[in-house]
Amino acid sequence: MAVLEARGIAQSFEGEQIIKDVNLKLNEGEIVCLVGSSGVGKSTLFHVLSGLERPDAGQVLLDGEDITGKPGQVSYMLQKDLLLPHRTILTNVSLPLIIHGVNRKQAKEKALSMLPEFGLAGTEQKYPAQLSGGMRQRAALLRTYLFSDRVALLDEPFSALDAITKGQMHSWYIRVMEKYRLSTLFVSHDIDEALKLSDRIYVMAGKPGRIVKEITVERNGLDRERFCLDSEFLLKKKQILEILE
Amino acid sequence: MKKKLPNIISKLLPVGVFVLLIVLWGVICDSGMVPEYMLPSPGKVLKAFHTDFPLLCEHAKVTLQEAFVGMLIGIVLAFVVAILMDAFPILYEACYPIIVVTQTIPTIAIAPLLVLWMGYDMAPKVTLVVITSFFPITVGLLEGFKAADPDMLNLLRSMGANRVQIFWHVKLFGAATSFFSGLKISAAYAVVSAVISEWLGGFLGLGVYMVRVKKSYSFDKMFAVIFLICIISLLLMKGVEGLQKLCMPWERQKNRRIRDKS
Repeated sequence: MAVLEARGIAQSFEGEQIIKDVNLKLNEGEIVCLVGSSGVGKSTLFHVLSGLERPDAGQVLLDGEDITGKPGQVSYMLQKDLLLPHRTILTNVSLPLIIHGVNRKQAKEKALSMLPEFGLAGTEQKYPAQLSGGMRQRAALLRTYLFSDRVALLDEPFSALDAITKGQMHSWYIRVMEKYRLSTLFVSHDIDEALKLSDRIYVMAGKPGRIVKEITVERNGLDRERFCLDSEFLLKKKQILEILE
Repeated sequence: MKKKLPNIISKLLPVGVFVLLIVLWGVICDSGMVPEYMLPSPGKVLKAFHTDFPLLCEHAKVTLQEAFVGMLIGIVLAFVVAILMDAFPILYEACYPIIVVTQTIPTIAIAPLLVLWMGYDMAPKVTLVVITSFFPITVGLLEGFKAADPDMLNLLRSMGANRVQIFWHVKLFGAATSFFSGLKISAAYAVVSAVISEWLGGFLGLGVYMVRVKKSYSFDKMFAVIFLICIISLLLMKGVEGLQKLCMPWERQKNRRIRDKS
């Protein structure tokens, strides 16, 4: 069954139709990627899915329950790491728990127990400015996970990182996701990244933006690294590029 | 090594110019170009400062009290006004121009009115300090609140945070830097405002003392008071800087980066 589902979403901004008739599904434990050229309305769609904006038409369902226009249900990681500069890493990652009314001590204990898994052991009393870009991104991901262990929406989670850090983050991310089985929908500009990380890909195009293609990534038993060198990978990449052009 | 030299020079340069000015002042006085009763020599001022020191301290205590109480009220008032104006945009639109206008009123012009309305006690002095210190702090806070990253606000909203939570976690601490810049300006003005309102009446305070020594043509003592006011203002500003460092530990840690061990 779908954990998160969007039905017939339409949204306009200042009289201009941004997205129209968007339908998508995210199944339990799945990693799904949304690709599309910039300005096609991916961020708008994410704003709607996260409940920040109420769409002109359509519904957002979480476990079959209507959450349209209700924030605080699915976790949303925006493009930047957005860690509060004046708070320690521990307070930053436990912020969603504190906001949900968990008592501070318990929230921090829970966050503290997760830090090593996210490669952040020993950083609890540090401030964000003291951490490297990769570490800050992992802290933001941990905060997203502590917000909801059901569904995460990630808007270009790795785009701000340099190529080497990005590669390391991919491997780490897959490892962690396979362990926690967090259902993830993420936006990417990078088709290689999309094919490497996700189980399914939605391609968005047009004006107003719609989902024009759904691609299931089948790795035929190959691991992700090796799949990136397979001919099937290139075939899929070509298919996506042709739609986007 | 080469890089350090300009740094030392740039620090010593103003001190050097200051010493030079004092020496020049001394030379002018000693040469007899200016009559002594008009401009006392630096030595005489220093001597007056020394002999009058207990008296100066007594008066300074009162002035400082007025400055502190005034600033404290100014800070509280600034917080209340800035928070309300940030929470209700209509209030911002309506009141911001008025707040700016209050700043164009010359302090010296309202000081006598305040004395007439409130008498010779501390009240008019404190009020004047409140009026002058309120504005820079309010503007600092408002700008700080407005500078909050819209994405950060969206993130907090997506977590289901309410307005109070967003204010507490993002806006309030985000405004710390601009709040302290405002406070520093206020601290610089506070003592001067207190002194100005003391000129116009009162029983104790550096301003009262200033008027007294002026009437007796003791210009050496007058200069001693002026120097004391400068020193106090500088110390207050330094105090604000210290407070800022204490209140913003994250700024101190900024340059201490740690290595990614994973």
